[in-house]
Amino acid sequence: MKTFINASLFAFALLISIIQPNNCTAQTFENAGDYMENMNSQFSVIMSDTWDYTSAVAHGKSAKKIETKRKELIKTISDATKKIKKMADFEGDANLRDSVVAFLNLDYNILNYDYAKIVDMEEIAEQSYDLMEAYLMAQELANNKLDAANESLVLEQQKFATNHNVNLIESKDKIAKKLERSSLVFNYYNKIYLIFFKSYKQEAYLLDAMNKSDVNAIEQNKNSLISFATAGLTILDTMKSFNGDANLKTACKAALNFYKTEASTKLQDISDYFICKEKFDKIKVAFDAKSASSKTKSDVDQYNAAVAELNVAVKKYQTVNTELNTKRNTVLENWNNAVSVFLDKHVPQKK
Amino acid sequence: MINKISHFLIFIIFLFSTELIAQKNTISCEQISTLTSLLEKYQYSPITIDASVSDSIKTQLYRTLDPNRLLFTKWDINYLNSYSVNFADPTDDNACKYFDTLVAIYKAKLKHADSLITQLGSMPMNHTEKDSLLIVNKDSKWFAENDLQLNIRWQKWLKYQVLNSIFQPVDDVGNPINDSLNILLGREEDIRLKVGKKEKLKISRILDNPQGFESYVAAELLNTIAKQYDAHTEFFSPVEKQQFENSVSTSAYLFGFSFIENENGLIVIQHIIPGSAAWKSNKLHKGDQLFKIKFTGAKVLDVSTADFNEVMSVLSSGTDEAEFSVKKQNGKLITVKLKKEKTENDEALIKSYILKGKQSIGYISLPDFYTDISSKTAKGCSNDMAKEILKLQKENIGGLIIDLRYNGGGSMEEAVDLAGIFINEGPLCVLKNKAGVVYSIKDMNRGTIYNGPLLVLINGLSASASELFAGVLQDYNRAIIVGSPSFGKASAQVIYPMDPAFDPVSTANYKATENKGFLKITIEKFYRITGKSHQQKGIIPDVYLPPFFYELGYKESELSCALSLDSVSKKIVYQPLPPLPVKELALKSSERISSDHDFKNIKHLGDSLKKIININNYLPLEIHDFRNKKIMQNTFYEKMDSLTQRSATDFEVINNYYDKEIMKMDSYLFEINSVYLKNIQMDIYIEESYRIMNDMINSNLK
Repeated sequence: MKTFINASLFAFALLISIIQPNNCTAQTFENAGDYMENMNSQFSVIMSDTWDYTSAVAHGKSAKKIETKRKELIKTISDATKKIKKMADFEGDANLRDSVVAFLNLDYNILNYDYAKIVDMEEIAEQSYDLMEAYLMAQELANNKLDAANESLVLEQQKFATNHNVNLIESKDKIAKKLERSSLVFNYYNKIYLIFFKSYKQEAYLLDAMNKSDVNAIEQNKNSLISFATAGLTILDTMKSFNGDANLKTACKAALNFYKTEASTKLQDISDYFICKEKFDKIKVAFDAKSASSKTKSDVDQYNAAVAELNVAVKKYQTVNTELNTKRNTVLENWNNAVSVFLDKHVPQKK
Repeated sequence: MINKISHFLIFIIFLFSTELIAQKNTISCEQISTLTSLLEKYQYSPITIDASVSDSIKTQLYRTLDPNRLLFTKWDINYLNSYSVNFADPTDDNACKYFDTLVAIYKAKLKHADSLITQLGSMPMNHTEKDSLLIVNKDSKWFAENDLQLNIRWQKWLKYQVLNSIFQPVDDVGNPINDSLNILLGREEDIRLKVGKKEKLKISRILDNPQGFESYVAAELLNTIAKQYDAHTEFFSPVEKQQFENSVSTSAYLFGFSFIENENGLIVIQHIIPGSAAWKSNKLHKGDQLFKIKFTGAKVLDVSTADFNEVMSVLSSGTDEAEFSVKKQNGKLITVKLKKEKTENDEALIKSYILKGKQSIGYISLPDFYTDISSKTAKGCSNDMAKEILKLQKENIGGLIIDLRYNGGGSMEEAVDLAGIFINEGPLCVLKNKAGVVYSIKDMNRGTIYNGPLLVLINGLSASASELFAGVLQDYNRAIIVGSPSFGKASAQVIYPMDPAFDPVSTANYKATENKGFLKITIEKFYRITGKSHQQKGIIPDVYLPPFFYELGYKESELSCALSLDSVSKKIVYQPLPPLPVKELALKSSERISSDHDFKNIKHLGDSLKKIININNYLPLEIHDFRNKKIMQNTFYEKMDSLTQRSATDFEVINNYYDKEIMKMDSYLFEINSVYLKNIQMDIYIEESYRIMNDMINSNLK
């Protein structure tokens, strides 16, 4: 299953596209235009590797290949950072260089999933309910920081250009345009994925509680699943399809509808079974404790009725379980297909 | 990464007290040294035990070993104190010498007392001369000056016990309070002999302790040292540890029968738990009279004249295996050997009822925060609470009352899970450990099971886990808290084996080589999500109801070595619900209570109780004076009883469908249930809670 895609990959696309010095008098490295151009050349390599990585993720490449591309990208960012770090200030102005380095460091850590260097993981841990949730929360906070760093970097560039008489012209090459399009696709996908994932994970807790016969956990997670699925469906209703393609949204809706029905109607039988079983066990202990001679007809009738009631509950339990397992498999299969088709269709092809 | 409660069960409980029972091994200085070093390492607030603290330990030890001041004289104590001891110094040989001497003196004193009882019990007593007995509490400094004074105290003590029994109502005799002097004194000899036997049994229970006399004294010493660190840090013998765990667990190691003291003062079996060791033996039955108990390897204890409490003490002091001699109802005498087995004990579990009136209100009483100690998936009271709520929801309840009065706490994990049933998500409490690290705890299950109006009933004996639960529901505006301020304990304990090789971080490879007892150690303090604490202060209810026993003052703040009240500052993100109409509900309740005859009486009763307890600290031993004192007491108890004679008219207490079905089959549960139903129906605090709940529901409808 595809998961959340790291949005930071696209943050610097905008940055690169606007660094276009147009200063005809500047011929040497001491020239402000050359100074920016030197940085720009580092970003071009990063952008190219980013596109390779993005394309691998979107078009169904193997996990091994995706990982190789990620590592290549990380190395490129690391090399570029080192080179830019070594650059001298420009006429005493080191702000642009330092902002670029700070931005790249942040991006490097995010690509390495090293969120502890960016956000307060302890605080995140206290607010989240499992590692995946903490990871997503950390990722979101880290991306927010990266966006903020990107914005301040753009401001820093404009300030540098103004101070050193550089004329910035926005122009985008092919890769930048592809990355920008991909960014829109992944942003849309991520929104829907998070809605799906919240309920998907909540159901996993619910199933775990059922395996442990933990009625407290079953009931809490069940009610939580109802509220997550309902809230998700409401959001989905307000979301538009992507360039006329509603398939991803429809697949997500189908999954959430399954979770909602499962939790609000089907699973009641499961909790009822546990209560019924407990009642039967107690009746059985009391029945067995009586000597054969002291058992009345009404005792025997009651015991038999309890057996029959339990059998009905067991049957219901099993039927519901089988039905849910089948439906769940179908819904998840549809969702996974929809994701693959969506990304493959909307993220531009490599060549 | 995600903070969870440690894999060790953390207990937050205070209401566990039992007589200390010893362990098998003879004390060595090594044990004291192990105890102090473990406490130094793990105890939340370690202290330095020097010569002065050691003196204080000795003083407290004498008071514990001789609670009624019937054994030691001042001379004995001075002699023992001539050993200058520092219990924390492993090189101090005096500690061992001191202990040996203490054991010898204590044993001699118990033996002397035993022969004194024989001697004094054989002679008629003069109950018509003016006399009185000094009442000492556990902290009293009083000890007899010398042996002569001690003998006199014994005479007075026995006289008191005899008078008490003379005036004890017996069914086939009637209430003796109005009997003539001749009739009363006519029963003196018979009662005197019985009293003598009872007192001898108490001594025998210590001298012939199933696990050894020396170990009994050692356990007392170790416990007294442990208690210097904090009011809830304790030494547990293996037996005590089992008892503690039984008290907070869904199942317990039991022989499997319960008994009562019948109207003739005999101990008879009342119930055999199905599936238990007693049940499997098929030899014990309801109505059998218990008269002897012999724990394996120990002497026979004659319980034929013992009262209920004494038999309870005997049973709790013993090991896992014993022979019980009983007289069957046909007069036949039999002996049954039983070994304790893990037994499900239904009576200790959570129970739910419906208060059926204009509104159907669910009522759940939680005796303690029990857990399943043997299970890693923790299926304790929170799981049971979830099931009870589901049952009640099928009865369409409009509100829910959770009764935590007299609930002394239990498992912290259960308390957190239980609060999670009513709170969707977010931190539930804050913990601070020995290293000063502060972290929040939440229920790892999101979502709720019950979202309707909720009321939590507490009193001064709701402690620890109860306070955590009530506090968090109050902070989230989730429930209205009704009753009187709670106990005030905000610390958490774990139980570790008393072994230097034990490491709580890596328990997988740990194997106990020799059982040297256990330590219940305070390892953390807990705080509300506001960062504030209820330590020593208690949870202050939103709606105050006059407490039944406020005058007794049994609170955390009264305990010696109680931890102090403080707060923590930590950024805690939580989302409280909209405020409840607390002022409006409190005002309406207070108007009702101010005109309620029974609630008014509660205060008067409190004042009379003080008088009964505190008159000069002397009990009269002249039979007329004693009778007057008894009349005063009886009047008090009658008034107290009258408070439970009022049946609530607003509702009828009924069972849920599931319980009704079970009780149809189980006559014993049916019998107990009818008592529960009656008690709930006649409890004025529950009646007032029902009314407050109705006000809350009506206020929501506005």
